[in-house]
Amino acid sequence: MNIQAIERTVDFSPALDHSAAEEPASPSVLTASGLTRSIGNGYANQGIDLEIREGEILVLLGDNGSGKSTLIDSLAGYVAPDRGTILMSDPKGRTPKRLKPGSVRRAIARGVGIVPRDLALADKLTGFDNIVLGTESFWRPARNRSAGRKTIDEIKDQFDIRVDLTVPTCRLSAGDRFRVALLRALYRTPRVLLLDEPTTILTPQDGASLIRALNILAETGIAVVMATREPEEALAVADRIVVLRAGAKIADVSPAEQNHETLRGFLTGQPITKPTLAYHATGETILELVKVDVASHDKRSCLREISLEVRAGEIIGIAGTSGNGQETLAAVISGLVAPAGGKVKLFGRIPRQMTPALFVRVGIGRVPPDCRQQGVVGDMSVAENLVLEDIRTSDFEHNGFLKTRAIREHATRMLAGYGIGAPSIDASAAVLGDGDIQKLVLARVFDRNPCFILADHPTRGLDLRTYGEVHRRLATERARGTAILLISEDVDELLTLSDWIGVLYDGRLTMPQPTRAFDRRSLGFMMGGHGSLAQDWTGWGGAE
Amino acid sequence: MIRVERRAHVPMTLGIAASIVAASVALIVTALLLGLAGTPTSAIGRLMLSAAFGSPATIVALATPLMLIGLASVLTFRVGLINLGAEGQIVAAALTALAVSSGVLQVPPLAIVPLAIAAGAVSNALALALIVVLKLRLRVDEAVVTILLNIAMLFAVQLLTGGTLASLPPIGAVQPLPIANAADLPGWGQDLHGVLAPLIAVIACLMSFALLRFTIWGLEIRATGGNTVAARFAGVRVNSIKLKVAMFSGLLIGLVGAGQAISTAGGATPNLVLGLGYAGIAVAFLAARDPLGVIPAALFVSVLLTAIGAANRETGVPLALGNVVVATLLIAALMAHGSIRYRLRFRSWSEAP
Repeated sequence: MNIQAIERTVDFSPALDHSAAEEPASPSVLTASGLTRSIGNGYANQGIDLEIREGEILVLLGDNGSGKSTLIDSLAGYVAPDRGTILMSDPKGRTPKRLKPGSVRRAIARGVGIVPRDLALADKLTGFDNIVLGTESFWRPARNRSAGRKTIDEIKDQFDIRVDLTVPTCRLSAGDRFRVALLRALYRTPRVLLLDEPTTILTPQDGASLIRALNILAETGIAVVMATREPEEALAVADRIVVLRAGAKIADVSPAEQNHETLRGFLTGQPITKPTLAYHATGETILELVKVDVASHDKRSCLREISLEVRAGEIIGIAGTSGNGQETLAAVISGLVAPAGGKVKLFGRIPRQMTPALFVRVGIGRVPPDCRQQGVVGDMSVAENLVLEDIRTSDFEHNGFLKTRAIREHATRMLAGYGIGAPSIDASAAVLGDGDIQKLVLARVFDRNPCFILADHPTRGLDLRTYGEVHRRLATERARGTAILLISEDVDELLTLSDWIGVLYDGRLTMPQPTRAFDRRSLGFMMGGHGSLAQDWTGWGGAE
Repeated sequence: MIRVERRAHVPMTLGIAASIVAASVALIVTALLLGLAGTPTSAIGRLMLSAAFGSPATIVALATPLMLIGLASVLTFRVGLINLGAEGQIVAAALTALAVSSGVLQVPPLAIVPLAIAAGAVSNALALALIVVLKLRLRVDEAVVTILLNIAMLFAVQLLTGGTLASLPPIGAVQPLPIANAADLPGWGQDLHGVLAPLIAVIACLMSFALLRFTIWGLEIRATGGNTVAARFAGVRVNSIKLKVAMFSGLLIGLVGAGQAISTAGGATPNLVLGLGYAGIAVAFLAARDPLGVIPAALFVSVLLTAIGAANRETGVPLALGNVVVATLLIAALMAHGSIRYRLRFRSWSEAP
């Protein structure tokens, strides 16, 4: 989409730029102009101008694929923009200096700090080592830990960040890992702090504490740039909101004049409708787990006495942040991991041997949590990947030979029907984007007319429109009488889709409760391991 | 503005072109090395040409084991296993076959030859099965095990023949075997072997190609090798597939060893041409891990090694040149096939996306 098209679709009036009008602007610390980076035949970023001022919180609001991450990566030096310049002001008041494109070292030296989306922590190092990594000279014979520790303690006190830095980061919760990554950025005394969708991996409570920390940061004069997909979040934090769409900057607005409806309009050009779940009677029990135990040397992949029942025509939501046993639960229900204790029943019977092949054969559709790693074979074509699970059915097989034409026709139909953005059906799956790989696997699942769907993070990496589309399809499957187990970290997704919600924390699952018993806040609180639903929620809220 | 991008789809013609480039590099390096080693410039061209066109029978005789080993390597690579031990496995299979044919069995002479060859092939298939089971059950690295067993087998056979291991023999060196072949292959048997072996190799390549391309097994093999996690998730029995493919490729390698040992002309000491196990890996990569490509790739490597062998006899250049050439070929093929997965995009700023 080119810029003219965007201007036509969005009401792009010059009156939107209020940012500088109200209060005297603080001096700008980073000025980017004309940042452009092409990707494939399109642009990830197209002529983006950005001015970031001292002590402000600037939110980059945009949907998946709108170019937020590319912009942040360009500013941090992770990628070199094809065109455009980034100027950093000089702290001593001299003329601003140009940042060398694509150089992380220079960016850090000039005061650009980043908390990348995947945090980029070395899992086996302690929090402390992660923080000081790269700041110590290679040639010094001994490490000066106490100086580093003192600096870190000062930062922790100043910004009220509490986290144990003496254990390997792989043993920390998602929230604590984020705190380590944040400390790592602050340890390098940034003047601009870039955060790429930080709240997607945090519970709402951790998100709230992050926002408090960001406000303190901004008060000390650090410019904060935070990318997000959520208009509500942008409104809650931002001093200024820059909206990106299809790689272009389409608005630069003050949150005071916006509400989430107007912002959502910027993002999509149309409102997103949530599916409604009509009440209907549920059918027979499809899947039942009785006191399932999985032991592992890694605490994060243990399951303890999980009991669960999924009936035809209902969606059971499993809430929890990653590292609390979701991966293992999904692996058990995919047939990849055999439980050490307890029973897994399919259609009321205990299968003799639990293998993925069995689950495929009895008509269970499974969406793996990481579709690129677990869902597709990168070197095989899109067409072949689409039939991977159904290859032994007579539709695609005759006496052991592949029905090549049927496979190709099927692929063409699926590409059109599910909007998978592949260059062709012969393209290798590895070249697809994450969103399209997700769509490919979802298409494979939905197309089998499964009686049971294991949806493990089904909307991870999808753009807003497809996100809504997947939700609609899951709701349709539910109405058709499919049993669905939804494992997710996305509180909104869980609240929108589930009939019942159970919370998985530290390998234990709470008894699933009707969804109406939860709200965003209480669910987030439980995902963080606080309390159970049996307790009075108002007490917890007051305690915070 | 130049950018490196991954190709969505690598066309077959490009793959063939990459192999031709790699082969040309190897050819040029061979010529240069022959020249540096003291072969007169005028003789280099003649040696190469006579190697290529002089005696088709010689080329095919050398290409046959290369084809079988190349195919075996291709199949194991395609299923995600790395067998670098064809060299040692050939020796082991040869010794097994000779042990069977050494006269311990009281069977008619006509039956002993197929029996001995089958024993060599099957024993090697079982050996590979053991290696794969060790990998799948105990995570023993199969690449390390197989490559180290090469040296172990070489030591063993040299000890048995009373020699000592001074240095690693070059590709093309002839190793006598310690067991006399009691199953004296008559003249017509030699002729039959000369026809049957290449035929079996070519048919194996063609059928493997069809298997990978057109059958469910092939799809499951490719899925297993491409992404074991995803294949298992999709219901493919990956362990069973790995085991079966490894055993089949072991069978092919065993055929090479047993066939070479048994087919020695009557009365002569049985022997083996060393280094073919390594050259077979280069064949697999020159063939871009495609069973059909194995046929021309094996013929090409056979020509190169024949030329070096001829130069060795004529002007005394070291046989070890063959090792250098095979290594060059391997690196060139890997680089060529690695780089065609990507494309360079040139774009001027005036162009719209």
